[in-house]
Amino acid sequence: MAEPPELLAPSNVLEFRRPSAPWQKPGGIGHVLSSWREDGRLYRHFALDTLVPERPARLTELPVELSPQVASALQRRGVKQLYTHQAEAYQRARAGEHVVVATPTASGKSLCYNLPVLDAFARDSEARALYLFPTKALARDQEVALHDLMHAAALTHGAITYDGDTPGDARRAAREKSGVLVTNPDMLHTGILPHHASWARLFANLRFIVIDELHSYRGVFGSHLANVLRRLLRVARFHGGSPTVMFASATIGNPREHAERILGDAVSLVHESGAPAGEKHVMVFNPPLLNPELGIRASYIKTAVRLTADLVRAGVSTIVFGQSRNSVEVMLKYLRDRLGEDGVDPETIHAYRGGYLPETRRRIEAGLREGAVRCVVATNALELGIDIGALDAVVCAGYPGSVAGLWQRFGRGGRRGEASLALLVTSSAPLDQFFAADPEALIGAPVEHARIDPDNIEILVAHLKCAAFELPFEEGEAFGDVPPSAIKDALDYLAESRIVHPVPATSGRNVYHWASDVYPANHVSLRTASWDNFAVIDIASDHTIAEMDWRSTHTMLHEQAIYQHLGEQYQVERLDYENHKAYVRKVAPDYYTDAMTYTRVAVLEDDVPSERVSEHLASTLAGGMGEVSVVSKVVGYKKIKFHTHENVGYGDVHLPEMQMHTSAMWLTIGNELVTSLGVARPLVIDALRGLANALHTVACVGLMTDPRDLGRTVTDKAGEGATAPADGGWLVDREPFHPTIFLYDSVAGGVGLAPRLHEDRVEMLVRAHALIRACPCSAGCPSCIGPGIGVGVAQLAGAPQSALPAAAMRQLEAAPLMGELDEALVRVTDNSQSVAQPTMASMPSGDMRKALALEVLRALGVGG
Amino acid sequence: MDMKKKLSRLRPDGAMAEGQVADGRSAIVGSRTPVVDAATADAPNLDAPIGRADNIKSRLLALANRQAKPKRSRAEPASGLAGSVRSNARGELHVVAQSFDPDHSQGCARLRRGLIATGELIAKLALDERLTPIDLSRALYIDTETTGLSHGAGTLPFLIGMAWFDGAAVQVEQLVLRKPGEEGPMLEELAMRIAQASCIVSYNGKSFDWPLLRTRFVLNRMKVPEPAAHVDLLHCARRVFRRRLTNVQLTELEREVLALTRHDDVGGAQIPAIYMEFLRGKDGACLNPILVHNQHDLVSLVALLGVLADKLESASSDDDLRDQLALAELSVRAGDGDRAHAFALTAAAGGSDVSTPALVLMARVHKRRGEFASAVAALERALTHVEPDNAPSLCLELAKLYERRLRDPARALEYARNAIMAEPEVASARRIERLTRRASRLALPFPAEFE
Repeated sequence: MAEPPELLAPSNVLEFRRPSAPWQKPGGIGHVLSSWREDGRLYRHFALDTLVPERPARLTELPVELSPQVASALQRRGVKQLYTHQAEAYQRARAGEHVVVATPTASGKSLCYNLPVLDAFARDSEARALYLFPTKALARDQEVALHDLMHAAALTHGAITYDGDTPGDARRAAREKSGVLVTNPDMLHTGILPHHASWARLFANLRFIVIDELHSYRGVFGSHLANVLRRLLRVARFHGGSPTVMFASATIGNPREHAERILGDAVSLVHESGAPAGEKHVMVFNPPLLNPELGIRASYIKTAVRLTADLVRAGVSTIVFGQSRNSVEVMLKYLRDRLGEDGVDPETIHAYRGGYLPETRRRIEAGLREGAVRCVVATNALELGIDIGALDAVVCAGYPGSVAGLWQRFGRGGRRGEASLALLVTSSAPLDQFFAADPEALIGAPVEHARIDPDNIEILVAHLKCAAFELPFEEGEAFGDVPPSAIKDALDYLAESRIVHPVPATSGRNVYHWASDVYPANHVSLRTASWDNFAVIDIASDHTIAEMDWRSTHTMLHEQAIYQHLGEQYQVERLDYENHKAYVRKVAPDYYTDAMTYTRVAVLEDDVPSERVSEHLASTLAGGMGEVSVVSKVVGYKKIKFHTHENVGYGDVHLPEMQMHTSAMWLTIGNELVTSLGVARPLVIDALRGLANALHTVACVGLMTDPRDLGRTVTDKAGEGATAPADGGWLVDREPFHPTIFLYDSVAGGVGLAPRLHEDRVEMLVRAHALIRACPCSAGCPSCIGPGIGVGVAQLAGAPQSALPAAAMRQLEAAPLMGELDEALVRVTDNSQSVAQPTMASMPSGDMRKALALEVLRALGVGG
Repeated sequence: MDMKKKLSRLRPDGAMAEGQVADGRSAIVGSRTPVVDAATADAPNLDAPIGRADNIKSRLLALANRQAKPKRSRAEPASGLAGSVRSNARGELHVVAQSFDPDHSQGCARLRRGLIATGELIAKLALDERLTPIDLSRALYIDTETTGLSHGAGTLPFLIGMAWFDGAAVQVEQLVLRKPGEEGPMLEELAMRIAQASCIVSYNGKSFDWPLLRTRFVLNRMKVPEPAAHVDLLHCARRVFRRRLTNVQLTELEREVLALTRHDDVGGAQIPAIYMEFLRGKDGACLNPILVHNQHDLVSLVALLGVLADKLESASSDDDLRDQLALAELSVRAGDGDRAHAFALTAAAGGSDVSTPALVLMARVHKRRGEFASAVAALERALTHVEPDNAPSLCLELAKLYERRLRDPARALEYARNAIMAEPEVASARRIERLTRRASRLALPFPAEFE
């Protein structure tokens, strides 16, 4: 809420102070910071210690045009002035411009859209607005806030949340009379638009559409939303509504472009925040190098736990962000173990991640707001605008993959007028080390762009079907910003498939009517992994303790997996794949499990057929781009010992493959070149894998993209329709052998990364070469060519190819699953931490990897 | 990349999007769903297992062919379709009209019975007092055939069947949509009929047909007609036959109530596909089975209204006693105690599964009227052949009646001792203790203090 600072009650004046507990020595951020700074052995590993100064509020008078009803409601609530960005957003929306507000967390964004809406309500008793939030929880929060504001302004328009949980009579009320309909894109897509005739009053009087959390609509979800919006505006137009659209977004690099792409129309940008911010200490801690040759650093997870423990002991409320669900649970366990020794109640430390049941989450959120929970370890599930109040410190264990994501997390900390701490603990991953080397770049760094492709053909056609179900298409009609000619092609295609039926109208033009007995919206899910969750059932109590999306189930709920939940360990005894149930039993193991995934890519269709990359490079190097099928399969798991992170065993997993169609660019290194190197083939593959890692890193930096959004793998250039045996044996047996590096969009259908990489492929090779050469390690490390494959390769180096054991080959193929790259790196890092058993150092092949990768590049004509 | 090239990537039926974009993984191989399989005979075989490149080539060819050839004329798809063209303010529409003699038998029921139904009876059947003043002889019976079973804007009622009494005869008119986009005249005709009728009568129309029709009016930018009342016989039939039938689909009622079996009836699931074939140029005669099916539904609807009204009119021991019990229950809900009593009395002649609830219901009616002795009599009669499991609750009720109403603690105590299983132990103990005290006090010839 917009509250000018002078209205804030003076803090701590009359506050009752409890005597401090023994571990609560003179506390606060200042105390912790000075203790760190005084400890020279610790402090030299801080790569950055800087202060982002306090930013004062910029205020302006309430706009004179604002309806008196709303103005006095604001004044009664203590809002006598607005922040400048709030006033600007109001003016623009009132003038009928579509607006995107992109200001930091907690800058009073919701008033930016609530103000024009309430103002319109005060003038028009029939006016309606539609609010979209990506999650149900956020929608409910907003409904409550709207009720309060409307009540204060004596507006009777009402606001109602319409989602799967809305009871029948409330649904009728929502249709008939509610001024604001608060819902989510999925409900709009399946529950409202196909029944738009029942919502005629809403659409006819629709003045505003509000889309909050714009930054979360990226990738496939964003592409879907853009199409849902095309349908929404089409339906609204039919009923006579022409709404103004208002977006609100956290920090992203291209808020305006992104909003325009989603809307298909011009959008005005409001991004200069007038909200005040307290001073913020921004620090980067780079864990010490334990083995400079191998580039092995101390575990960032344990480092983050240690630093967080200092903060919690000093009474600083802290949120720790981990990279994955597994790492969050591991950190929770370590923190409770460590702080428990100091007498800290474990119930004041919690984890928060996707997969927890809603009531568990609500309890933790409330605990945070009320101060009963002093420390929370979270995944990005807490990134979205969930209200947990402000915390004093934010610790990011590992770079979250994007500058935008980092600042969104950092934005969680900082109470108004008080100093806060934002700390990044870097891992050995390439991007982490990139920023550790140049930490100043984090401050004022260019921020990643949110990318979508609303014209992705599969998504577009799916929504075109839904749109045809909603209203017949007339020839010459556009669909959002897709031109009529393209829509006609698509409709003719659907007519050919007998999904729509063209009927010549009196105008002589065809009208395409829906001509199928299916309900198309039911066959299109807007999200990649929300609709067919697995239930996690505790055998002892027969209760569902958590839910897991389909994709994560493969890596986290395979049989024998140790499933970590709220700091407890459970073992999966049975996975009922058909019925989407995993039965777990509480255990107390000294290890956790980590799944190994095998990924295979096959070209389906080349947009740019393979051709020689450049005259200046080797003639055998060919590159292309097109549509591929990516098949991943979890093949096994490793047992990782708690605390030491030793690898203490393996197991097999038998689960179906996961398949995805997406776009990719590829580079094929010819057979001649492979043979000319005169090295055993597995070693070449291993070196190419390293090269792929380096290419991946430079691609992510170059495109400013989250590493999880770009997948990579090395396989043979598979012919059309060719499938590889599951054990991957063909990689070695196949003759001739044309190893190919694939870089692919990690979201189905792709969002346009591949064409850009294809264009820049020569530059990428040059940069990858520079990255590998410049890396101070001697034999390749996580920061350049990534982890080696391990024992398998060492044994294979001299072995005849025909004698390769299948298990070893599988391991060879088990490249880290996209999105779990960081975890894979932790493993390598932590494995080698106890110097007694560095897996790579003892391998003869380890020394060769980096040299071989450079040799491949030299043979290709890159570098020299 | 242009749209055509992109489109050629999709599988022929466009079904790929669901399986793959939807959840980021592919549909199971072979799960593609042909949209209309019967109709694909003359279409280019796009599903043939040929190579991807060939497939694209054939699709481009198909595309080119289609563009070169003049489009097949769809101006008069009505060839072979029964009926005639009529026009109203919004244009032409296709109507199949037929008249039925009131003595026409639909199974064991005469249509004429529909005429004698009074608003009062129908109001009770429908549990809706507002129907009482309605003149059922001017009702409009409606049943639609649609392109799908889902609700929503894309489901099209392509056949609107209407029936009404004209004098004594039953007129049936079926409005057939010759092609999408011509709904205006058809809806206009429907609106006109609704305006003339006293109410509409449907089967499951409240949740299916009527919302769909409303949607059509909205989509065609027409005023949505507001019938004075809507009688949905599905709900009425469910209440009347609930103790006999679990399935109250219209065909099931025909078999069980009208003693009528349909022969060669077109299955509901086939209807959308047949209509699609018609739209794509198949001879109008292909719609005949649907017309017959719809007509059959309408006539049964008329007959059913008569049967239901007839059943509720007066109790009859010739009727199925389970229905009599259900009618008694229905009458209680409708606030008609006399009728409830009459039906319960008939049903009380049945086996214990019918007679026990009937007698309990009768007792309830008596109790409500203050006829406590009769209530007790009914319950005691029920007790004579009740299932042992149900006895305690009857005894409890009797204990209460004897204690509070008939002031007979001794009898009440007798029953209370048999009612232990029907209430919590504490309550039961307290009741027995209290009744024992009162019974013993009353048993003394004189009050103690006079001794």
